This record gives sequence, structure tokens and C-alpha cells, in this order.
Amino acid sequence: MNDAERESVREFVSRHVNGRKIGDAEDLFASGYVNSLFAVQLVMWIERTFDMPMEGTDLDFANIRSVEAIGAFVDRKRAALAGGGGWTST
Amino acid sequence: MDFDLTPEQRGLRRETIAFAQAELGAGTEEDDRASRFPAADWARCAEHGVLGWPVPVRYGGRGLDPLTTMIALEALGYGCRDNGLVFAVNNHLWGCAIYLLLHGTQEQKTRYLKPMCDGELVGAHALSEPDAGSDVLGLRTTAERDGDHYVLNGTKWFVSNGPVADVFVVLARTGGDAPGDGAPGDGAPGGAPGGGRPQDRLSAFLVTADLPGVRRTREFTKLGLRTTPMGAVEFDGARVPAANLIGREGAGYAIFNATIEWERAFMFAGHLGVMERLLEGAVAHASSRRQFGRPIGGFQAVAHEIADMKIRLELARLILYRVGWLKRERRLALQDATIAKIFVSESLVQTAMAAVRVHGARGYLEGFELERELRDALGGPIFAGTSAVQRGILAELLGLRGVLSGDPEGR
Repeated sequence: MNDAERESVREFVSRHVNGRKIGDAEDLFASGYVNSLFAVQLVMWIERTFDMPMEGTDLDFANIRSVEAIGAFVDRKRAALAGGGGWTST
Repeated sequence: MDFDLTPEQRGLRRETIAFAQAELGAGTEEDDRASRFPAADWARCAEHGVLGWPVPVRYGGRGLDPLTTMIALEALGYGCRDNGLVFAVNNHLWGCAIYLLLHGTQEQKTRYLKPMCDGELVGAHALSEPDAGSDVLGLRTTAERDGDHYVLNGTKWFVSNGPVADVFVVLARTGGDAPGDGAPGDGAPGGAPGGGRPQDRLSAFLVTADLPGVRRTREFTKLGLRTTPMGAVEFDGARVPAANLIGREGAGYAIFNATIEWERAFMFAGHLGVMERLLEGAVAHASSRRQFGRPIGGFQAVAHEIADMKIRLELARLILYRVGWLKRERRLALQDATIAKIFVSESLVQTAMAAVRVHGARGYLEGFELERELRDALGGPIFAGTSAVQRGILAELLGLRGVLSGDPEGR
């Protein structure tokens, strides 16, 4: 994730905590500033903003608990998407 | 973008409708009156492969992709007069099997999915409690680790399939107290000392009904969907093997959130079939029933009812197929599933009401099917999260704060 993308994450998070300054390593959910639906909202925003399809299993709090974690998650997801996907039912 | 069904999907649709019309629902009127689970029809569903439609072949299922599963369930809803049986199948699949499918270990899948596909094990989701339903983080059932087991204590209510279920997916608290119990740190900055974050305090378990300490204690009588039994389940020191933990300890809420979108959409695919059946019945009746010298369908008031039934059906189908497509592509679908849950369940109620109006006295009386169809429809906006809660979720997903919980100002 580049600096501009990381800044956009900070801005999105900040908008949802009423403009409070949140450190990159700060746990968003432990802070009590956001509720659990924010997790879904955040994942949907990542999907739109970074143009990467999200799966239900991506809704793991570990992926999105801080700005740093989100950056790492986006990087991992990009690498995984480069390898393809799709439903397997056999 | 391709809105056409494939030849295979069309074939499956035809085959499912033929099966359901020929082999299911022969005793529905009597079963409904007696609130009786149609065990023989359940076995026929298993034999036909219905109970394993979305389950991979290696675990004993049919291996249908999610969109094709949606289409098959729609066909089942159309062909099967017993809406309660369809609801029982859905609870089995989307309240239980899907949790194993998405989050279970290899051992759990191998052990439980095949007998679930074969109809030997009936699955259920034991989520709601006397004091908590939609507010999942408020659940009070506890699970304490004790060696190789978890000890479960608590009561689950409104468990669809519960009285006949052999295996339950159960959410229980493995850390901290429920919000409102005065737990230190609830909702406060810094988290909850000793209890962790509220969303890390729940875990998901697979609990079999034969364990000591698991008791099915009460059966609820319902307005509709009476052939799906609904009951209470008590856990009184039930020792559940740690191997039956689904996912990791503390991941229960994340698992719930990642899975509930399946239930909120796929459980309503059968509604499409019912809406189509009601529409066809209304058209037939409005075309043949004559008053004042002409078919009643010639009166604008009746014709518009029927036109609106068709509009609801087609829009409901679009949103559900979209969710089926998203899940086939392994995409997140919570927002679409939430929209689908609200729209499809409310559309069926409106369509069933319209069908009753079009049929007049025949719609209102027992013995003409429609009064049962209406009773069955009324549960849709309530189960799997009420319409009110779904609208709250949707509003929060759109960025509004404080709709469901917490402080709009984020204090």
C-alpha cells in the first residue's frame, strides 16, 4: 500500500470516529469508537476504493483492526488476487 | 453480464419442480394442522440430494455452485406446497451446514456433512436466547474451557428444527460478560480488561443433541410454517469436545458476520417459487372467475394487483440471483443480502395478501391453500433478523451512526 492509499485509509477511519486522530497502530475496535458493523462498512469501502473483490472470510477483525493492519491486509489481498479465485464445489 | 440460465440450470429447475410436485407435500394440510414435521418428505429430500445441494461432492453433496443452488431452491419453493418443509431444509443448510462448509475443519466436515446430506442428521442454528436475538453480542450462553472440552451453560430459544435436530451450531461466550452485565470496559475506550473486545468474546461450536447436558425443553406453536418445528434447547454443563469448536476461540462473531449473509439471502430463494405459484394461481382465478358478466381480471383493481405481484417477483429474483452470483464469485454480499432479506420477505407478504384479495372468500377460508400461504409468509420479515433490524444494518452500512446501537456522536 502506498502513502496516498494509507492516507485515504486514515481519512476514512477518521471520518467515522468524528475526526479523532487515530494512530496507525491503534486498535480501532478496542477503542470503542466504532461498532462492529463498522467492520463490514470498512471492508466494503476497501472493496470499492481499491477495486478488489472481498470475501466473507475477509471480515476477520485481525485484517482491519488498525490502519497498519489494513495496509498489510490490502497488500496480502492484492498478492492473493493475482493468483485467481472462484467457487470450488467439487 | 448474462441473465440467462444455463441449460444445466434450466434442467435442474425442471427436475426439481417435477420432484417436488410429485413427491412432496401430500400431507401438508394435515401436517400443518398438527404442527408435524414431515419426516418422510425430509427423507425424500435427502434421497433426491436436496440436503446436499451446496455441499462439495467429496463430502457427500451435489456440489452445486451458489447461484445454481439459489435457482434450485427457488424451484423447490415453487414445486413444494409445504413451505415449512422448505424452511426446515433452509435452516439445515444455511443455519448449520454452511458454517461447517466455510469454517469447519477437515475432520468436522468429513464427520458431519455426509450424514447431514444423507438426512441422517438434522441441523439447526441455536442462536437466539430469551434475552438476546438480533443483538448477538448480548448473548449470555457461556462456554468455559476445561481440558479437552468446553462446558456450555445457557438457554437457546426459537431454534427452528430444534425439536428434531441432531446437531446445532451454537454461539456462546468464551470471554467476558455480556454487555449490560456491568462488565468493565463495555463500550469504553481501552477495551474490557480480562474480557477482551466484545466482538472477540464469542465462539462457535458444533453441539450434538446426544451429549449429556443438552436438553430440548420446549416446543413453540407458531402462526405459520408449522411443519418446521421450533423449540428451546438448554445446555446444563454440557461438555462439548474442543474438537467441535468452529474456527478459533473468540472468532465466533467474525464467523457469524461472514456467514449470516448466506442465511439472509439463500433462505429466501424458496420465496421466489411461492411468489410465482401465487401469481399463477391469481392469474388463473382472475381469468376464470366471472362477475358482472366478465372475468374479474378485466377489472382494473384486480389486474393491478396481479401486475404488482409480477413486478415484486421479478425484482426479488434479480436481487437474489445477484447475491447468488456474488457468492459464486466468492465476494462479500452482506449489503445485497440485507436488501434481499427485507425486499423478498416483505414482497411475499404483500403478494400473499394480494392473492387472498384476488380470491375473495376462497382466499380467506381453510382448504383453499391461500390462508396457509399467507400465514407461512408472515414469518419471513421476522426470522433471520427482523426487517426493522435489517433496515438498521443497511443504514449503518451506508454510513449512518447510532441506528442500531451506540452513540451517534461516537462518544
